[in-house]
Amino acid sequence: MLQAIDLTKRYEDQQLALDALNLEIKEGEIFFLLGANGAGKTTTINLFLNFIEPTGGRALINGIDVTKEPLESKKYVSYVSENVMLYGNFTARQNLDFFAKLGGKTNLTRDDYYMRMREVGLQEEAFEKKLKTFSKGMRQKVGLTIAIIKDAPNILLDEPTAGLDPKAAAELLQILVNLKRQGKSILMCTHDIFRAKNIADRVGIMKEGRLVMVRTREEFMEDDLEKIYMNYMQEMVIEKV
Amino acid sequence: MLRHLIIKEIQEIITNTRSLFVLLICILLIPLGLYVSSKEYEQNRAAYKDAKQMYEERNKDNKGMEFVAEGYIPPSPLSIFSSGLSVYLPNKITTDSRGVWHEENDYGINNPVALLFGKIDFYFIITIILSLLAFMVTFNSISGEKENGTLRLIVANAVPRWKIIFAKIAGSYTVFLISFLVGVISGLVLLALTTSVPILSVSYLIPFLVIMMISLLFLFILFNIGILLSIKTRNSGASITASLLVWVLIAIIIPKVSPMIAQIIYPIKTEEVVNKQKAMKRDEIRAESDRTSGELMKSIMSERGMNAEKLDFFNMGDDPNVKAALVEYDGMIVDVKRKYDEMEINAIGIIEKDYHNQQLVQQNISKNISRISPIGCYTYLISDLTNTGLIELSNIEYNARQFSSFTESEFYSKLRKYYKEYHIGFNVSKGIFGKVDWNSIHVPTLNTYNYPTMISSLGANWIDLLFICFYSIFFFAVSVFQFIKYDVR
Repeated sequence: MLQAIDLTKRYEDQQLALDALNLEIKEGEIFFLLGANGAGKTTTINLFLNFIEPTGGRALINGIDVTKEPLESKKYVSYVSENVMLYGNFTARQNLDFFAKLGGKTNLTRDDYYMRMREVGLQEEAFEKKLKTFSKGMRQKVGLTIAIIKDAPNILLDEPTAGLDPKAAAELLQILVNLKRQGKSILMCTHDIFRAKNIADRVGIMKEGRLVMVRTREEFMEDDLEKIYMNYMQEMVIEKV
Repeated sequence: MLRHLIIKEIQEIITNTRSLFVLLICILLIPLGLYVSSKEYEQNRAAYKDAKQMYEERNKDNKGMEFVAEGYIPPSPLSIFSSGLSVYLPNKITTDSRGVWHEENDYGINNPVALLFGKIDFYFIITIILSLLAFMVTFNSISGEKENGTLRLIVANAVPRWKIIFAKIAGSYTVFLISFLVGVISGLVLLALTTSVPILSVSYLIPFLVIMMISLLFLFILFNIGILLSIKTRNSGASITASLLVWVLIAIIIPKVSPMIAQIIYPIKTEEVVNKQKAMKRDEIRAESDRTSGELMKSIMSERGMNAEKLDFFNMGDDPNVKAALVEYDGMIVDVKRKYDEMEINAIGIIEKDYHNQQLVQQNISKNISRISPIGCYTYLISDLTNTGLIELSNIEYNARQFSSFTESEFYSKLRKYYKEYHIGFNVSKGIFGKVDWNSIHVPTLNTYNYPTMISSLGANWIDLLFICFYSIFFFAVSVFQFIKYDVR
């Protein structure tokens, strides 16, 4: 379970990146955080991963305060970033092996890695190929496999479908649905409203560091999510003008 | 966890072409540098033996007060690691009957082009080539991982940051160390097969190991500086620019500028001016000596009822009175000459000592400024450990004094005793040689030249050793501390 309680981040230049965010993502739930660039989506993820310290409030992973116990909290979370480069001179399996061991999975065999890579749709011939030969979509799949192998109850994804072709993006989202079925709490930051409509259980829209709207699946299926989102975006543009 | 991080670091580096380049450079350049330096050592050793032998043969019958004794300085086997000042260091000490000694350099220049470009010896390879390669290996160790996003993925796991940076340093340094050691071992094998340099003999093994230890510590400093720069810069491009600038600063600017700054802070006379001062003093004392000699001659002559000023020394015939006066003069002038010689030596010694002290002050200012760079500290340590550094300048003086006093006691004083005893004067070719036991007087040679011991070299450079240790700990600690606070985003 992921919880943000009055989570606030003000940077050194006094810019308020996150303003008292309150959020709870339960087990087996996919939460999509939508918003324009600079809305505070990535800041939220950075705070959950303790990459930065909050100026107020708390971020909890499975009830553990990430600021007070950063190492303990990280045992219960996996992370997939926007542009997974990984180690270009390592094969896909070597990359998996390294990150699996970092995640505490030291007993996995070559077959275990192969099985996981098959699950995310990687072709067999890619398993022992160097990652620098991979397309972006393939690298994202390896990145997702790293998150899966860790088998943490919570997964944070920061724009994982950015730059992916529609097929690769659809495959990636299908994997997320499978993970949700396994009971994982998933927080995904994205601009991709169409994917949100497809798989999200709840959707939140962020604007200038604030979570301005949260809709459940039922609610946003009834409403026109695109319209709501675009309205918020337009409001923001008008305010800026 | 730490083991996995280190293994990954090693794997990552060895799959990079840069590490192959480092290995190639080490395998090619270190043996080449050691081989070329060893051949040069062998040449110098052979030249030393020839010169010494020729001197002994040429002078075995040359036993007069005008004889100038020569002591030849053997090259140090450790000089194969650092040529240091060897081109400028004297290879010969000369000393005369007045106890005046000089240092001379007869080596000459075999290949001036080599001097023009500088030698590739072990010291050069470490301070210029490997120091640059250390930066090339580490420049993107952190900034590159940040760009790739792998650092975020690592830090997203339950891994303490100190372990990540420790693994970075340990992994990259281990790979570099292996390349370096492969190069050194290849060099030693090459030396063992092709040269006669006794570097692995008992007396040189420990200094060799100490040189290796200090070199490894020095490379460790550069690794930490490289990693620190990688932490402090935002991307690989900025890292490589910063690394090159810092390298230029510590490898070239600081060591080369420090003597200039010392010259500005503490200007001293040039050697030419000091030589003129010495010549003036010498002329002054010699003029006084001549005046005293003349007065002595006058007084001896007047005691015998003669006027020295009216005597025609070229047409005196066999006047026994004049002859007796000259013999008396010869007997007394020895002490007078000796007194003025001593005066001259003392006066020149004072000028030289004063100049030497000024040089030392300037040298110390220069040394202290250059110690800002680890390369400065490494240079002083290695050049002195290999007997080609600044200590050797004073060590040669020490050996020259020893040789001078040995020559005085074993050669000149014996000759002087005979001269005084038989009143034969300085013109020994007319002396009464038959009464002298010439076999008891041997041509003085410098049979034992004492190089400073390793302990005394380390002792004299304790501050540099301390700085090397300090820089190692300091840059390592700063790197770890900075990475713990590092913004991985």
